[in-house]
Amino acid sequence: MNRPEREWFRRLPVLMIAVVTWFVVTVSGELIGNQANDTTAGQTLGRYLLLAAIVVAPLFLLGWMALELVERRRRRSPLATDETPPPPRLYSPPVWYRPPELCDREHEVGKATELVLVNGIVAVTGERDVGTSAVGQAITQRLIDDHGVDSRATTRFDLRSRSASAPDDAVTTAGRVVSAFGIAEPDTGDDAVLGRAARELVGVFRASDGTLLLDNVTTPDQVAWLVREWPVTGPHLVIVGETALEELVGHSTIRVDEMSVTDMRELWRVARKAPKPKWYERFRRGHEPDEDVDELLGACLGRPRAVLALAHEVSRTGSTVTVRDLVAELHREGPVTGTLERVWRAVLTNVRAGLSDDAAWLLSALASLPVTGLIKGAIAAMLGVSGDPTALEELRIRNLVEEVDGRYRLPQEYRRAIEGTTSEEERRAVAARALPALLRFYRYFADLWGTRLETEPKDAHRWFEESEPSFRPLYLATYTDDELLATLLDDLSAIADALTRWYLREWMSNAMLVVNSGLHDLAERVGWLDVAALAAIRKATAHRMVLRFGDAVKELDSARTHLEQVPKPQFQSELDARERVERALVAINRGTGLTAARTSLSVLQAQSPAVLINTGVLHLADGLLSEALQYLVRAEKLARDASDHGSLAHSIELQGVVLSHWQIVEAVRYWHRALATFTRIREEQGVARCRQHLGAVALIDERAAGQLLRGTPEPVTRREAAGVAIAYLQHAKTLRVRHNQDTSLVDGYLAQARGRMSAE
Amino acid sequence: MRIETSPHLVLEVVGRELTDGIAVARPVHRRRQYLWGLPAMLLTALLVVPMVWTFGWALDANVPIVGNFRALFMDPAALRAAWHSLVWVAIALALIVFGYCVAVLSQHVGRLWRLLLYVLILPFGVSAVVSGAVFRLIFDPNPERGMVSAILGRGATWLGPDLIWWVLASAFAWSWLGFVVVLFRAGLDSAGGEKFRLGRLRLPKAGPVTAIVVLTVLVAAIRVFDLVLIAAPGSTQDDVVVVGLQWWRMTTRSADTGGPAALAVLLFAVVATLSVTGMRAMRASNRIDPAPVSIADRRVTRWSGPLVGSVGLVWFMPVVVLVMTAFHSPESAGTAGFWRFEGFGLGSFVEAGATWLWPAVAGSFLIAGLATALVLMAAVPFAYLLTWVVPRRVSRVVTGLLAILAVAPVQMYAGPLGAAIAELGFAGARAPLALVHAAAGLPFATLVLRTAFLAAPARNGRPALDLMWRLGPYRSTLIAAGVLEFLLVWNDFIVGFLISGQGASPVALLVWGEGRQFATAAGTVTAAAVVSALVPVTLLLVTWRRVVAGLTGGIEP
Repeated sequence: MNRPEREWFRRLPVLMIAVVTWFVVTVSGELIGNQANDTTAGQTLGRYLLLAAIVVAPLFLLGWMALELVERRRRRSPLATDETPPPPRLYSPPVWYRPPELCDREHEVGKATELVLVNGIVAVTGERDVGTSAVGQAITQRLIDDHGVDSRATTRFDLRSRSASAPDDAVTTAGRVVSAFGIAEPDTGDDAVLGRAARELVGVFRASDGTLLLDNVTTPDQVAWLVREWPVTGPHLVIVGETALEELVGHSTIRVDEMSVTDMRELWRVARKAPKPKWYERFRRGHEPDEDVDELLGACLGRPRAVLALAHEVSRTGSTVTVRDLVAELHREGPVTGTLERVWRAVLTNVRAGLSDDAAWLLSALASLPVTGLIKGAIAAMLGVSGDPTALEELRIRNLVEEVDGRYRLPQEYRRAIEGTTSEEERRAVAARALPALLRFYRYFADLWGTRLETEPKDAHRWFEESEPSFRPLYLATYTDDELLATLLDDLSAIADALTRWYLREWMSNAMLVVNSGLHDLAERVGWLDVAALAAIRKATAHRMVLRFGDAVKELDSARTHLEQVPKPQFQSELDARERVERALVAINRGTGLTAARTSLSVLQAQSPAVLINTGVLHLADGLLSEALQYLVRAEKLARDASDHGSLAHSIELQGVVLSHWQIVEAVRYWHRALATFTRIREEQGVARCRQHLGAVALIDERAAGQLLRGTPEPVTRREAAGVAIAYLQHAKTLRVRHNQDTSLVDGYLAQARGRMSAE
Repeated sequence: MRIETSPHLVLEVVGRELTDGIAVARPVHRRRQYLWGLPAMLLTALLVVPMVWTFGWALDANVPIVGNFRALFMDPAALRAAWHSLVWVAIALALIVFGYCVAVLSQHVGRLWRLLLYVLILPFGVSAVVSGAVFRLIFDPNPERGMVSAILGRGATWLGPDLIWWVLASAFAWSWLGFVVVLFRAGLDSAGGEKFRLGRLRLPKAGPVTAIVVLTVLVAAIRVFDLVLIAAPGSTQDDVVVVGLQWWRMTTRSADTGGPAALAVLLFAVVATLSVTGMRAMRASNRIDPAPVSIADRRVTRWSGPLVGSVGLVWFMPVVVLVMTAFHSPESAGTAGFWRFEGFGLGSFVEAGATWLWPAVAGSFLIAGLATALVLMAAVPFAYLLTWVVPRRVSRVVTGLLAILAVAPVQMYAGPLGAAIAELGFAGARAPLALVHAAAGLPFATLVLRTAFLAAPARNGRPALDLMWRLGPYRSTLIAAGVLEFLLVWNDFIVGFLISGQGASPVALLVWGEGRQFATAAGTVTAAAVVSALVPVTLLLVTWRRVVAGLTGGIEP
């Protein structure tokens, strides 16, 4: 949205009033001074007014600069250095690192390795935190060490969601995994779409005979699409997650049980860096009474993470806490649900006491957020500091946050423990400071990379791919505080603007629907009708992208209802234009209601290349070629003036379509120009369309094929023309498949071209 | 949607989504938006109405319409002034050629270029009155005071009728060369080594910047006034009188309004023609592509050090003269050269400060600050409207008119405006003077801003008006427009002199007032000149890179 500046002191009218006031004060001072030269009052007042005129401007300027500085610091200080970690290398999966030695679990690892070698797949399941991840990694390492799997062909994905409350669904999970291998992300949960992605992924691993380890799987749905397609004969797939996975891979599952007390004691010893006891020492009592340690370990319910956390509390430098203290802490707690939580609460109580104020606040803030896996810059922004946040380092040293690939997450057990030990009001207060800061940070970068999608498409692509999972949970979260939500909505709306641009470019209809549905519901809740209307229009776009025209029209009707109630005329007319454009696009895609759409757009008089392009298309559809060309030429001019390369290429492409009615060779030249621009800005749908046009035209006109093949419109043989057509059409098809777009037209032309090749 | 455009050729056609803000052109909103142009309209009216008045005076004669003009062509003094103005055009052209040569040579001086630039650009921040005073000191015929006479010995009367042109041309060149060189250099760098042919020579192209340089310097040369007034002693002023000065003489020597008005109209016609031609040339050439070429790969020649050193020394010398003279007591500054140590001290500063300097500096601050604020307040929305809201044809016509108004000489509106201000009881007041400055500066600022708005990339339509202050591509231009307006007003002599008289007390005017007793007041004049030059020079040195970028559409020198 083209919203005006929010800060009052930056508004143009305010500055105008300030300047005019200054002028009036000066004039009055001089006038009074001149006119009332003889009277004492006049002279005095005049002099003071003149003094005020001289002083008022620097004072105003200073005040304005101070406000600007405060605002800048509030908004941008933590962003001064771009803390965003470099996005993952495109088409390059995470590198495998040797895991630490496992304490016992030899039986599980050995059995699971056998299973994966026989079945190609194994599921390692167990209750939460019993150590399934460590077992999964040990199995994968065993395959490398003992069975010749190449470590470079081994990849681990941590499938924990960046949402703090819900796991990712199948589409999101599949998107995360396959995109790392250069495979198109599926945009719907259709079995066929997911199956195709899975088969491509299997192909990648089969080629290298590698291992894919999917860790922290929460629901069977997240991996069912892959398990269905994974061949028994290999490569290797290791899935690690909760017991629910057993129903998915029942025949090849290994269950990891809770650790025995003996194993926990050994783990305790290793964690405390105690020497291995000599055989005779086993009969002596150590300085820690065995009963206390046993009692403490008993409370850990066989969870190695809990054992390690307790051991860390006793062993860390400067700690005065003893095993007995911890046991006493455990006993002091009243009745709690889930006995393991008592351990985490005990650890937390102990840890909190030694934390700095900032670190304690950050801990609460991380627990209050709907997203997790934050980068350092985002955390600095929440704390309002620039540079490395020391509070974060404090939490990391004490194992209260985990760092994976430059992202920091608060383990679920601590999150629950914090939620259990703080009141609703406290959590609200923390969220009211943390969330706005976080969203401002995200907004800044979303705006930045959103505008760079055309100028720096590669980097922008990487940034969105890496960051988008962090944004989605923001639109699915339950915000209990309406007042807080109202302060967040502007930022949420701006982030959604940038995301929508990205989704449209990547043709990610599902993600677009999810984000805008969330935004729509949130906006409706707090009564922001303009945002609700905008989100409804974008929902319509998402439906249209997958040809659900009925749903799209319903959303547009809803948007119309909202926008008519928007009080600000400027916003109302902008939304009205968007709604009309989206209706026109529905008509274009459907191929019906074109004349009505044309009439609807013609009243807009909007100076926007996109509006002119759509008006041109509607005229083209009605056979009004010269009018269409006029609109498209104007669109090209406007797009060129505005450096809107996407619209520029699109308008040139459509001019080619108009010209192809009578000047096919000239049309080829136009499509070539459009293709070059689309390629430069990585707008792959445009590339696919232009290649499809060029392939088709090569097939039906030998002069056009000559233009494509040799750069001159000399006719070529029919066989040569078919060869040219196949090259263009094949590429177009690949791109259309990647974006899950209809391929019937390109398939038809390809069949025609191949038929000619085989016939001649 | 599929369309069959030729037999068997079925093509897929899709529309395009709106992803950004759009310019909605609802008539009701459009009308309301025009209100933003109101301040600019009012300021323009302040300029245009007196100009129409002057036209009226020029046409009102015994022989209607042509009478005053015919009398002008019969007046030998006016013809001489016109001839002298033509000499100034020649001086300006020579300066442009010299500046171009320096810019081309500067490409071979490596890192020293930046140092040279600072020395060259420094005088651009100094007012013509100050530079006139400095050159008068340098060329003082008394070898006790004048550096040139001391070096060359008595014999040549530099401020006499034979050599005064050299003094004036040197002072003009000292002020303007930096501007010419900096812009040419930015243009050369962005043209990426393209060449043009001139006879047997193949010279590097400077691109569209050339038109900006030629236009600005020529207009400045034709409008020259204050430099002549202060640098030429009263006895030789007849030998160097120019059209602007002649106009002033005519207004002060006679109550007739027709003659001076006709002279002003003629002057205006010449500069307006130049401006329109220049604008066309600029439009015809392509937009400047801000892709500076690295100078690292150019061969740095051996002679670059000595060359830069000598040019830098020559250009820095007047500054030395000014500052050193200021640091002498009033008595010794009037009698001995700056190189002598007798009377060295802060005496001149103390004397100037005790009487009129500080109120004058405060007054200049007020006038320049207020005028700059008024210009930006009016020009930003005006340029915004011209770029994105007003229909293109109207915008083009208004832009043409602004190009003419931007170069309108003060003489075109000074007469009626001065009379009106005096009538309203504002004679000598600062606020009306700031208002006139704002009106005079508005066309240029609007043109610069509009060019930047057109050149800066904007996706899918216009940005919100409130955001114009903050968006990166426009910021340089806002700074350029603001800084240039502040400098012009701070250093102004002619507008204050012709409209408000000396009562408004801007520093330059007072420096001139004191400078009339040049021999005795050299110390206080130079002290005041140093103080008055500190503000604009500092401002210019801090911002000149942004100013050049703002003027040239993004080329950072």
